[in-house]
Amino acid sequence: MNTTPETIGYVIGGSLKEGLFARLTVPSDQVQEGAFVVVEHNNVNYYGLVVDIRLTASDPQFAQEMNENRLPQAMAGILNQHTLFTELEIMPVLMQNIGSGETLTDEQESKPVNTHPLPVKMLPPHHSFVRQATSFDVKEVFNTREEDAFVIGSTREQGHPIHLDLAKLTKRSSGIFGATGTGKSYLTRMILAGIINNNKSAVLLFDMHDEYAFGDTSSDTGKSVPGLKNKFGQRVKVCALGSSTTIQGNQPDFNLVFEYSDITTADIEMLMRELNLRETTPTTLAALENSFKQNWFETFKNMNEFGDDDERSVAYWAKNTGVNQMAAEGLHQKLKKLFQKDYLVSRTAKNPVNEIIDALKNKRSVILSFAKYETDLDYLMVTNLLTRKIRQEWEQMTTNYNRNKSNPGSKDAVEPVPLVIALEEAHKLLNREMADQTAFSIIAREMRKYYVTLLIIDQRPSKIYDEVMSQLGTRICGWLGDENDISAVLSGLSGRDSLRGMLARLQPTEEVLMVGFGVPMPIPIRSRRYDEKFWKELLKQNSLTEVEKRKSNDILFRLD
Amino acid sequence: MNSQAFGRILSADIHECFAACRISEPDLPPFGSLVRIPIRETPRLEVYGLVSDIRIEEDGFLRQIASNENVSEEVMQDARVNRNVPIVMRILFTGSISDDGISHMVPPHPPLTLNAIYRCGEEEIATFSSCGGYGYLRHILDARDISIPELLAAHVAQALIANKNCGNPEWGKNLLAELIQQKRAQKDELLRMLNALKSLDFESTAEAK
Repeated sequence: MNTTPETIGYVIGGSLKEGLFARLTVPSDQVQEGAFVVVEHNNVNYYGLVVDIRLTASDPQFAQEMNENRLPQAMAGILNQHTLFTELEIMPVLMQNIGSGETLTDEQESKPVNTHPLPVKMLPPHHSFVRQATSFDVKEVFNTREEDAFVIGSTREQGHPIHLDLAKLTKRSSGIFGATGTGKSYLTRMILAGIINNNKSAVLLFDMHDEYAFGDTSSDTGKSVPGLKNKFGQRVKVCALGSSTTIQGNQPDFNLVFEYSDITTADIEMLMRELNLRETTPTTLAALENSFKQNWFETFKNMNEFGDDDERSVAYWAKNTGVNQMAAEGLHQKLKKLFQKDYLVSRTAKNPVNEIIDALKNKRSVILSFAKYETDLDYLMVTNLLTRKIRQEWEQMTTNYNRNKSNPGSKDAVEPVPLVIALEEAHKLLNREMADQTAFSIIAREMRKYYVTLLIIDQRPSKIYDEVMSQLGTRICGWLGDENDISAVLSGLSGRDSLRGMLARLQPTEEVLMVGFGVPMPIPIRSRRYDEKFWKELLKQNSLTEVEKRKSNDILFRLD
Repeated sequence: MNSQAFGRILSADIHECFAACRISEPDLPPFGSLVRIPIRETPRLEVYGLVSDIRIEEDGFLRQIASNENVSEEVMQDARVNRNVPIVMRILFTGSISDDGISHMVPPHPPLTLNAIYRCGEEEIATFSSCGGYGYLRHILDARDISIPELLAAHVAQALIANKNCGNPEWGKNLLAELIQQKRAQKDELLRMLNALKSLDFESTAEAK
């Protein structure tokens, strides 16, 4: 088979800043915004995206009048053909020296090209031909190591499979965005399934709505869809917040409760807004910590609210430590919300936080279900407590590793397992007010070197602190209606003005735009369906050789 | 190719010539016809042109006949047919043929006076009009003191039939495309031309009778 893909137009102008302009030689409805196109000149292929399609005319009057009404059909047809045009605006992203200008034969096609696509630094000359990308082009650009390749979807026009590089995705923090109902959580399930199946990283997922572990019912098909625990078995540990809590009637692997001594005063300061604490709170908390060290929370909880002369009262403690009595009593009153939480206990037989950390260290993934604890206070408190401990642990492991890696015999010379912390409703923890107080913004900014990255999932990216957004390497985004959300997703990316319209015009479901570090070039794709077929194909990969994997990926996906 | 000359050159320049012909000539070419004017045999040079105007001038005597009520039918016919003042045709040069083939450039030099003029047949029209990518169109489109849309329509009507009959049914559509590309910057002019051409059948690929 010779590859002679159909030419769809030719270059008529452009610049590196503005992109390329091409005149379309096929009907305007044969090319979509976001189409992956290739401009060919000599031995260089320029890969780009169609970012705008414009109807134009050699004279505007030709467009304004219906020529068919006053000229015979054949004549009007020829007149329209030569006076009315469609122009494409193409954002060139990558260029690749393909080695030979000759048409590729079957044999040549099967051989890898020895040069890789590079960021575009030149422009093709006028009248270079433009064509739709072939499966060969897609493979060249989205070429990933077999073991890290994960088919996330396909190009919208020809359905060529698009591979996401899981190694790149997890190397830096990433985000999955989209308005409600755009299939965000199904997409997240698929990506998490890919990461877990890849078996190079552990995942800690904060599952606010109990939908990831044991499955769910699809809102569009009404069919039940499996959860990650159902499919991965012991590779995924399910943890329910609170003792004796079950998840949709299923028994978790363990229940998460925290000891009072786990709570630091900084954890309480983070809840200033949620608990409506006053400005005097940090002073009172500092005094509590000073008085009772790490037992401050339990001791404070056990103090009597009333009785000035009672040695066990808040007032007595305040008087004796020089703390404002009203402030101390007020804080005690407001912390009652926490004192009543049954997932905070005095002592635990086996510390479940350590169980989670041990599982993650051993490359097991953990899904933390919040079950009945659905308030923002629970979410903020638990995610922050747990993440802070994990962060400390991974920092310690990395430090030990860096100190001892030159000494392979040492027990500390073990490289930490890369950890992805998946965070739903991320704006609750990473908004402008909270971001600096939680461990998450630090993870987004600094923890890449400590093997911890975030996968944030949200429907309102504009609510997430700019500094955190700017740290996201890969962004996968479904349809968004709000201008601010669109701007936030594209912040810090080159060509964002061109991509803005594309994002706003995605199909409401099953279409996403992928941009950033994890993909060689921005591309809108039709995402895969999360169903039994997906699982069948994903889990089948484990039994295939590396070469078979890629073939299977491509062939099976086309059957969709 | 017709062997019978229908007229002779009166005057010429590099772009056009005027020719005289008798009214009694049985095969007078109509407006828009392609004609050929041989200049020399060796090396071969013949000029092609389109009949771009036909004038029938008065000879003075006609005024008297026209204004006199008592002129017999016999005298009237004699004055109409056997008149001394000839019909004058204006011929716009559109190319030439030499030993090297057909060219759509103006001839290297104009024909001499009294050179004979021949009407081209269908095959010759088809050959001339279908070679060179419609390069001769520019002579028509750039002509002065001529109704360009009418000349174009008259020529295309004949060439369309000639080309269809000679197995080139797409000639008309390709000509339209070329015309539109050349004149699309002058929308009003182009639409006047298309209006003049719109009664012609560009779609039918069947041979014309």
